[in-house]
Amino acid sequence: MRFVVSSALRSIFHNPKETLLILLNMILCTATVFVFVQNYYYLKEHFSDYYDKDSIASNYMVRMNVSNMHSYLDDIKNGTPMYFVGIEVYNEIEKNPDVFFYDFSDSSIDAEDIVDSDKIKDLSSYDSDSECYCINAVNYSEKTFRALNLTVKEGRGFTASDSDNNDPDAPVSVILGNDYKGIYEIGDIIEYDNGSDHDKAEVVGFLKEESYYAYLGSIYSLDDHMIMATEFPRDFESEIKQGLRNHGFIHTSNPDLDLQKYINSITTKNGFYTMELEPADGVEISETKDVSEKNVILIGTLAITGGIICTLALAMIMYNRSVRNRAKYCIFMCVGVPVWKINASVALEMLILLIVSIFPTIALSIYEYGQLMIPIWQIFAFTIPIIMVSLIPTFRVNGKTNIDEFIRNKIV
Amino acid sequence: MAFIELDNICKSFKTGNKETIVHKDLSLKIEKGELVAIMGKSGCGKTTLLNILAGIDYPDSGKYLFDGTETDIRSTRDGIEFRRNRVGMILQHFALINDYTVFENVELGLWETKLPRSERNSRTNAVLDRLGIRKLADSYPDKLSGGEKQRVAIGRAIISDPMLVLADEPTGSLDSETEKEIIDLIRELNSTLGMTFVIVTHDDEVANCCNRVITLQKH
Repeated sequence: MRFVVSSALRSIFHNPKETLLILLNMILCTATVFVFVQNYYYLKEHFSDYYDKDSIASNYMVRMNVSNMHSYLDDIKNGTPMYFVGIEVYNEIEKNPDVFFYDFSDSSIDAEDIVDSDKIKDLSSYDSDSECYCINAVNYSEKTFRALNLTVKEGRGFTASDSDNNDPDAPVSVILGNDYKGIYEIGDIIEYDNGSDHDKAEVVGFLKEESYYAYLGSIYSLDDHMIMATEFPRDFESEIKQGLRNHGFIHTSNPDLDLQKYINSITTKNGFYTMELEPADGVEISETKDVSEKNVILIGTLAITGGIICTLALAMIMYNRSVRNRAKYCIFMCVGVPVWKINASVALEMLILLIVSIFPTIALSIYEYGQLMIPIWQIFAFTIPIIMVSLIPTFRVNGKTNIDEFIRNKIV
Repeated sequence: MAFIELDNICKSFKTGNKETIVHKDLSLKIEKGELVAIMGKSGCGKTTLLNILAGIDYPDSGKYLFDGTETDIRSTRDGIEFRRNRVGMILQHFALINDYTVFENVELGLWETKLPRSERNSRTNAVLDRLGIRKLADSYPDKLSGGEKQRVAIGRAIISDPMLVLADEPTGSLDSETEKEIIDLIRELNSTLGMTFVIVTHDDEVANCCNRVITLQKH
């Protein structure tokens, strides 16, 4: 072992140019593999098949084209004449059975405020904003549920009456993500008590596994979410106000309908503010997915090509060095060092350089993302075979090294 | 029983379709502690004989007994195993590693022993002292004279206390004055350490300094 370690270290430090060349090769190769694997994971984890569906492409975010947003929001809040014009516009738009407004909000519930919180302890996570261990929750209406094309695996979805539940004593309907299976059953009542508010939610269904929702360009899993039919603890803001709110959403199930043109005709007729529609997430995500897939293929090709070039380059460098070092290896063999130890020292040298070469990638990942985005073993799974293949010519030439030729001065 | 015994050794090489017989029914005995010179014309098989004794090459037929035990060397691996701590080698072109210091070149002979570092260091220093090259310990071979290089090579050969030291033309690259120094050194080591030395040489002066001369005939 002493020989193997000492010889490997000596070789690294006594051949600085070669060491640098090998390191550069490996760093480039490792970085390419890292980018490839990371992009692959991103693609795999962030783009559910769900988002290939046309329904998402039919969702749009509504931007109210108003010069004074505060004044507009006050109109809605205080019920000014403009508010009633807005309701007229809203109703007229929704006269089309293929079109409806929807909105949602996400929130978090302090896990400690849920009675029997021990049951759901594992599903809570620390929320630095709320400074508590929280349960993820979203507030969806029946329309939101429909617009996002969510389906339940067990129980039922939301109905219009779930969202219109104004009875403070009646429980809010809740649909749970798949992670809650086994913790709650259909019909269970989840009680909430934070000292001042006391509320109840009744489990009416469970979402199918791997349900997601898209929001502002990102995709979130709903598996660990509680989906409330209304605010929890409840807050009875009218759905009309939600619909008219800036950054609300609109859905159409008719792909042939030019929704922007349709809305423009109604707002113009009523003298209401212009509503600008922006494709909501689905289209962006779908396009991003297409680009990401192409990128992954390109980077994958680059990684494989880079890997082949790296293998060839390393093989050449190591082979030439072995040929040059044959005399030295003969001396080792003369004093009783077996060939396998010589090969092991070469392999160890490459392994050390391989480990060193991964540090720039780790540093880059931590600098950019604050963590190593992919497991190290996956990078090694790509680079170790490169090293192994590149050492084959070296091991072959070492195996054929002949001390007799050295003694007869044919190897110098 | 002799320390080294070759019994009816045959060795030939094939080059294409042509077979060259190097040794045919060669038998010889070398006693422990002897200083033997092997002489003969070029191509008579001196180096081949040395290689067989060192386990670098092996005979086609015949027996090679080392310290009473028949050797069974059939591969490079067997040869390395056989040589380890048993056979030291001194070569004409010194065979030193240029990026190792004198100390490291000599210590190399102990790499395959299980001695602790302190023991290796003290042994290496003792050998350097004995060979008169302690002051060169931190020098590199390319800064040494021919005589100094050969002393380093001798140091590496004897440091593990081998039973047999084989030397192939150890003075072949040296001037006559240095040659005498090296031969005197080998004689001294032979007499004081009791190691068996087998020297392949063309040089009558070297041969005359040995206890016995074996002359090989060309086939």
